[in-house]
Amino acid sequence: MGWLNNDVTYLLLKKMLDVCTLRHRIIANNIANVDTPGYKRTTVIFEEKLRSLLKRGLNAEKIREIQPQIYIDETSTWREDFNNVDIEKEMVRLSTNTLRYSIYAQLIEKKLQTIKQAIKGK
Amino acid sequence: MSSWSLFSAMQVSASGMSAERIRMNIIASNIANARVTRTPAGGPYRRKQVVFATVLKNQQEREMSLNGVEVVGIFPDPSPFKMIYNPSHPDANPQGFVAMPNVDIAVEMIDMISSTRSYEANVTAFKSAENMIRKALEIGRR
Amino acid sequence: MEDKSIQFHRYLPSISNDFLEKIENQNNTSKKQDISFQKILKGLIDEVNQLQKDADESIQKLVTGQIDSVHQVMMAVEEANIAFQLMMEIRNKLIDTYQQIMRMQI
Repeated sequence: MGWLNNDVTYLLLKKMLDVCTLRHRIIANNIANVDTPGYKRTTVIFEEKLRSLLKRGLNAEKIREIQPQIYIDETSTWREDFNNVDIEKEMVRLSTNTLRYSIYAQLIEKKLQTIKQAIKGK
Repeated sequence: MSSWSLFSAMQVSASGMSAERIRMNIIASNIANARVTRTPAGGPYRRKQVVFATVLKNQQEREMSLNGVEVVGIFPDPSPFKMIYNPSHPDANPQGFVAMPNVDIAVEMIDMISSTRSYEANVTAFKSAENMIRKALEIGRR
Repeated sequence: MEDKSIQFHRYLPSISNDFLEKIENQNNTSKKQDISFQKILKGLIDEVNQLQKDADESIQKLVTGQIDSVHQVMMAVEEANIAFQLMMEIRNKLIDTYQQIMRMQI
């Protein structure tokens, strides 16, 4: 249905689910490597790109194009093994990301329900 | 393994759990053998340590990948045995010193706690992925 | 018949424009109705079929492991379902309309 997949909000929510999935992968990898010597944590940049896009105006095409990016965090650490994973921070990011995913999934579900209701009419 | 997949992320967490479990076993072995002065190879028990490494995409490239962690080896700790003065010990040398394993129980306990915490963090990550997949199943349920 | 078209406008504001135009045109020209209703229905059915195919494909890919994203598949399946539901509703309303008009002409 052309109309649903051109709806800015729907596309945005779809994309956010993908971003959350990628972000989870990265957080899981950071956590798995918390004790690996020399490991540097990675992070996903996306919301900032979205924000700058919002200023210039959001449309379906732009949302389809915009992609999350993976960055390696080179900040130094006090640890002897030169690993810069802060496990507490990663756990917080893990929770936040999981909740976000739930929220976006919920919002999509509500949107789809509204559409289904509209189809039934009256 | 697709980056867009929560299933792959679960495998990453599983690799973390495996690695930490191996580490915990080695620590337990160190603790159990902390006072062993006679090993099959002769001499006191030598402390073992685990080496973790990030799983790479392939060996040649050394490219950054998101595939978790693995144990690349279990190595003996080269630090010297502790010489304890105990002339009545059957394995005492002529000077009355016994070579004891280079295991410091306090260090091992701290390592064990750290490893346990890391293991649990991986479990949490694993469960989170599971939650997200279940949440996705609710799309269009009604 | 007018009312039903307006209902679509109100609840589904982003429905594709050419489809709306087709409905509008049907309101105006009563002679070509048989053929045009068929055309609309055919168009709808084709679209729905395509979406069902897409949904089936993404399910297959999920099973074989080509796609690992559960939400992607759920949404593809849901989109196909909605398209199907929409088609059924439109079909029903078009048929009602058609019958009304046939009654009028006689």
